[in-house]
Amino acid sequence: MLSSTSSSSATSSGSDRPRLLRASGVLLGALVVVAAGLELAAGTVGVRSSRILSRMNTEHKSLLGFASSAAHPKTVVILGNSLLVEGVDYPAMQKDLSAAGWESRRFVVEQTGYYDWKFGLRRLTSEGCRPDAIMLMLSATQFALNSYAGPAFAYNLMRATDVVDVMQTTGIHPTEAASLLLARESIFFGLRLEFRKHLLFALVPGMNDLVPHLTPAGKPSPHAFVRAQVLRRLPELVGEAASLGQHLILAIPPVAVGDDYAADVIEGGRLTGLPVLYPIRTGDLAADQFQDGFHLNASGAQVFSKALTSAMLQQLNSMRP
Amino acid sequence: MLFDTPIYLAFLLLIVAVYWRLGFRQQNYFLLAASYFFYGWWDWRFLSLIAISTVVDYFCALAISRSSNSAKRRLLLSFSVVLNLGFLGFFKYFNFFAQSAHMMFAGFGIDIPKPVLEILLPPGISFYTFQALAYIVDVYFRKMEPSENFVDYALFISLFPHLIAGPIQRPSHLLPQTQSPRVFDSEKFFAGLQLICYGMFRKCVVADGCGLIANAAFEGRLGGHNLPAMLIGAYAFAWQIYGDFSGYSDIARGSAQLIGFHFMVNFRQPYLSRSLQEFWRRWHISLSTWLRDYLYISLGGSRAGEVRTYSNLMWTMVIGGFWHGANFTYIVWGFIHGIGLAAERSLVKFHLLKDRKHPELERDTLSDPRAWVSRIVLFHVVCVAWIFFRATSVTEAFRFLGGATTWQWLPEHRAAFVYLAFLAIPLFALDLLLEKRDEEYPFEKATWEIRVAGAVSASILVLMFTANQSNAFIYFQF
Repeated sequence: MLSSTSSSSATSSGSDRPRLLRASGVLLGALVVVAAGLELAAGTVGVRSSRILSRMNTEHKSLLGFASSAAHPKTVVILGNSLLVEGVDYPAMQKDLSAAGWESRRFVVEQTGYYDWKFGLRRLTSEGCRPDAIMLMLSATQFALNSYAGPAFAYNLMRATDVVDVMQTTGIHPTEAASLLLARESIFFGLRLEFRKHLLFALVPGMNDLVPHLTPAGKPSPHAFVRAQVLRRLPELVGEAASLGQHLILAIPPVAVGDDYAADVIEGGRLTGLPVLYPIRTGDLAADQFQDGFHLNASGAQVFSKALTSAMLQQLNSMRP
Repeated sequence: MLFDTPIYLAFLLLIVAVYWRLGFRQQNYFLLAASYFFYGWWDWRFLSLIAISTVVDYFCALAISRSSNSAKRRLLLSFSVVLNLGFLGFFKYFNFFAQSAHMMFAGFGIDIPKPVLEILLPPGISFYTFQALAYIVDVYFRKMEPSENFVDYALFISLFPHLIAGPIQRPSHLLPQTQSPRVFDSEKFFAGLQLICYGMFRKCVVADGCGLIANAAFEGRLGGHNLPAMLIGAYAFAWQIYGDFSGYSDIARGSAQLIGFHFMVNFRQPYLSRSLQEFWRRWHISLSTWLRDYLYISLGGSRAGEVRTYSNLMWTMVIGGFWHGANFTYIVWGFIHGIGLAAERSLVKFHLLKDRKHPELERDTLSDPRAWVSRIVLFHVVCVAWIFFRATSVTEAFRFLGGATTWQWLPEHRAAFVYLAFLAIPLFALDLLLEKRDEEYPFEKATWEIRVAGAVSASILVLMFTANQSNAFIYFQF
């Protein structure tokens, strides 16, 4: 007989009680063991199983303690998101920089924007990353973003001590801040979304066809908003970098069509004394040199990499001849 | 605080650890403080609203109980009802009525100012208002004695596991639990842990995954409006809302059991229903029984002739729909269910349909092919109604339904069906298991080792497949 207030309200018999109490203990203990196991597996098998995570992990490790010294007199770090991975032929760039005497390291975290790297600069500096220059490559609209890369941001770019500052700056709720803190401290929670993606792709046929449709396309921000954000944020970023003793350079990649608002970033750079590299302008490359109107393909990347490396070297050498 | 976040689990762990070390009175004070902290975590300003409502209802109920003057009793009841519904009406429906009036006058060519207020909807206001109304009405009709102790009553209203989205607890069921010492019961505790694990699975794995697909379909990201996208959207939302709300209810019930309380069951495999009448005995049981007892019966129920019964059914469902939110879509959703229930009743009257008042007596129908035909038909009727529930406007709902006339098959449709099956089939299989074994949660009657294994497996799936960390429960907005 169905009843709204039935079965689990039934009390256990006296002889069952110690057994069921032990069962609760076993269940809680098993959950702790599972969590510990996943944490362990995430740090070993998990990271190695994903090309993106493996790259991110290697790149992050390479920045720990990366600083100019007698052995490495000229150092530069290049930071960015998927625009950097897809748009810059990094091995070629690294080779050209090296030929000019500059040792470079790259660190890419997908889906990052202004907030990620504002706090990321603090984290990297605290981890001993003190190169001669840091080049941050974002599109102009990414400087105006109010979002951040979620748990991946917390794990890779946030310091635990910055969580209150992140909460106040981004306006997130304490619930989300607490989740960020967990993601900061746990490799499993920090990289869980990437693991989930891999599992789904392995288990669900055709996921490739579906994924692009699951995320709503972001609405383009009005120009006035982007401009106001950029002009307000660049001085903040310059101040942040100066307080950390870092020399920052910005780079802007081209997009296929439309206004990329690069002029606002360039103006913001001029007003704050921040070097902004914009070697290939929007419209300079053909549409078939882009994968999707935003990310460059191999052909576009080749052209852009050459131009960016040349502009970078010019800037770097002017800073430290 | 959202149930599916690490901060809630940490909060619950702390509460349980401290709670069982306290004496009965201390437990009530501690739980009341914890519940107000839980509620104020969203926005501490909302606390004033629930506090005012609690204080007023407490004193009104005492005064009603002590008075023998019927006019005074009626006045106090009216005051309490008006206050509670006034809060609900203002915070939830003010902008809806203001905009509707503006549109109506504009239709007659009269331009009146449209006062739109920036009002934040206090979480759970619909739920605790209904619970407070049930209390004051029960005391008025002398079905129960009012609580003499303010803390006991305040805890009955605000106990954190049910505060935000129910299940709406009957005063006669929950209030006595706040008034007498809770005894630690290892079975209840063990069951509570399992309910939380399975609730998380329903919410984080099934509902949030289906939500991604439903959103894509309703927002036209699966090739616009066409038949496959319409089916995908309707099915995905049906499983999303079921996983979401039943998952929430399981976590709420599980959390309550960890502190020695018992909440009523809110869902019993609703998609195995063969009629709307049966559906409403299995879906959101705490709301449907509340509507039956405090609205449908108050309107006259089935005692005033057949036509009046149909009208009462219709009004109950429309008001029930409107309770969900200030939008015509919810009214249409309620209307569809009202029409359906009235139609079913007339078919039963003329012996064209079997009476399903007691579906629990027909549990062997899982192997009956005719029963499965009824289930499939009923599921699709419910899905059509869900389209109105999910759409942002009635126009959008009709546009979405209009997709049924367009055929377009895209690669993403196949992938969406496969992904939906990947998410929904496990939940459906769980429901079949629960139905067949007459259990409240999976493996309830199995050995403790199997129960542990089941809950751990569900937790692993939650950890591996949780869509993201900030998907609010759908019913939080109601």
